[in-house]
Amino acid sequence: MQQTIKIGFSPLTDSAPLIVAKEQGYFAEQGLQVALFKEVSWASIRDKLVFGEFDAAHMLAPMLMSTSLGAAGSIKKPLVSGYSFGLNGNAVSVSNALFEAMLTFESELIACPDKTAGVLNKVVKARKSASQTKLRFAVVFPFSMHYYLLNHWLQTGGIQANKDIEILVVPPSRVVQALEEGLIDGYCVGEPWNTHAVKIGVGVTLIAGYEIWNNAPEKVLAVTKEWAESHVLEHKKLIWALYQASAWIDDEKNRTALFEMLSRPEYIGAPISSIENAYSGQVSHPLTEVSRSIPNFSLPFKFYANFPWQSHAKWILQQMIELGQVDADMKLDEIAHSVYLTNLYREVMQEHGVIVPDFDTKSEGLHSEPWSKGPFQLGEDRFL
Amino acid sequence: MIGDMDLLKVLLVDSDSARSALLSQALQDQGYKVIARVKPGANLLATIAKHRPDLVVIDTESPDRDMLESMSLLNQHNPMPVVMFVDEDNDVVLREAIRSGVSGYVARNTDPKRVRSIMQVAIARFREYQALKDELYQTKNELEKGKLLQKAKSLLMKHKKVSEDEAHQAIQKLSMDQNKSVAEVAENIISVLEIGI
Repeated sequence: MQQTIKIGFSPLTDSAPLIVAKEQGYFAEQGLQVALFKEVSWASIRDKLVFGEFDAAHMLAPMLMSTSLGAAGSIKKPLVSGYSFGLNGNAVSVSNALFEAMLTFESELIACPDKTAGVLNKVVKARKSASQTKLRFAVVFPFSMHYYLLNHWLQTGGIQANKDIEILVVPPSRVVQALEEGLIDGYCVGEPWNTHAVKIGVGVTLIAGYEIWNNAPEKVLAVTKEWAESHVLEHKKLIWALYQASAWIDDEKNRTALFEMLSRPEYIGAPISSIENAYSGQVSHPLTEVSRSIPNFSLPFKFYANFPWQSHAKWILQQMIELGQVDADMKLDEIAHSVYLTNLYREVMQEHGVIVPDFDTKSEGLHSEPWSKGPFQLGEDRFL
Repeated sequence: MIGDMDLLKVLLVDSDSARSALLSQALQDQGYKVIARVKPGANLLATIAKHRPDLVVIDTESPDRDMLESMSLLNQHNPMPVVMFVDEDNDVVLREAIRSGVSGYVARNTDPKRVRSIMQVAIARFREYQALKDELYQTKNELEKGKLLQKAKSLLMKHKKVSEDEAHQAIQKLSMDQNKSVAEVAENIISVLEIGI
């Protein structure tokens, strides 16, 4: 009898490949019977995967490493991934009140995202000299690209996370409410929760994750090492079904159907008007008619977005060290290699005649324009 | 180490008030003081700050879990043990969960008598981990201080054309004269001399 594969996901636009693979029949085509489970908390997704309640999960890429390492007292279990859910998709948004305060220092703020952290620092300093409380920013988990991108952005403005501003954790689907209630002053979260805050008049998006690091990794398909070893065939079929779903998502003629699917309450449960920006590359702003356009706001497929790059894994591990989340004396290459199954992904693609890069690592931070390595067209990878 | 736990204050986070009432009773019967029962989504951080519990018991399905789990990690927010209750009474899951983490898990239909031992394990684990973390923090701090001192010394040597010993003595003298720690003095020197460049 065919066993059902249980997969947990968090309601975010980058969970779309799972939803599409199920709704469009890509799982079924592979003979896979898949049940999707929507979860609110990342810790809950992790635990259910670790304890076998889920067979696979939509997971924050850094959580794959932190769980494999048992970092900071968290549950330790070797996890692996052979598929990335795409690139980018995050942004930093702040409350209307904080945005007003920032405007007093720089009125053209919305047109120059690169200045935002510097301007924020002016607010931080003004608050300090007026003996006001520190600003509070939320990320979705301590081990997340959101934390690392937020930290990088803050540093460009001379702000030290946890010292100059407080950082706390709020799950993705709850940040808008937390911003509205004044519990936090800003956050870094994935779509649709930045656009949604703007659309309902609760916040302003300052900078997109893409502008902090062009084409950064984000979520991965996580399975336990154990499961990967005992379910090689199913794992490969999952990867192939998700790859096809990613290609379907990238095709503009499917967008109307995609938005309708994602907005359903059992999936993302947000209005279509909040979901479409991630794909149309628009960053909404409440004060201007026209949104800012960032074509690569969220990249589901282009530029080998589903390829598990060793250089992405290593960058994440380096951030963990820099922020003191893990011991500095670990072997980056070895760990990156054990969690990101680049070879498995390549193998699956080759079996289906898809040609993917024959190298596992690419340079990061050197290109501000798309570039080519051999026949392979790669995306820009510049840092702010 | 268990003896002083009779008066431990517990904060309960659960969306199901009937279940929460039951658990609250079970905890009280086991000698815990349940100081508050809150629903997830309320202003959890403020509630915790107000009640200052020794232990938080939370529903695993609650979105507030992530927030609690991160509290000891991100800032130095008073970290505390967190115990969660899970749906299925799976012994393997429970044991593994307790062994592997700071927090403990309680199955929803656990025998009330077992609740106490699970909580004790969770708290013991937490203390162990906290002690380790404090030690690590201290070591790191000392390393940082050492780096600051080294940097201040080399700046002094470069700008004031003095030897390393003289620079070292000057910093120590400043520290005594100004009644500040060596690290603070080093920090001041660095900020003054680096701006001067």
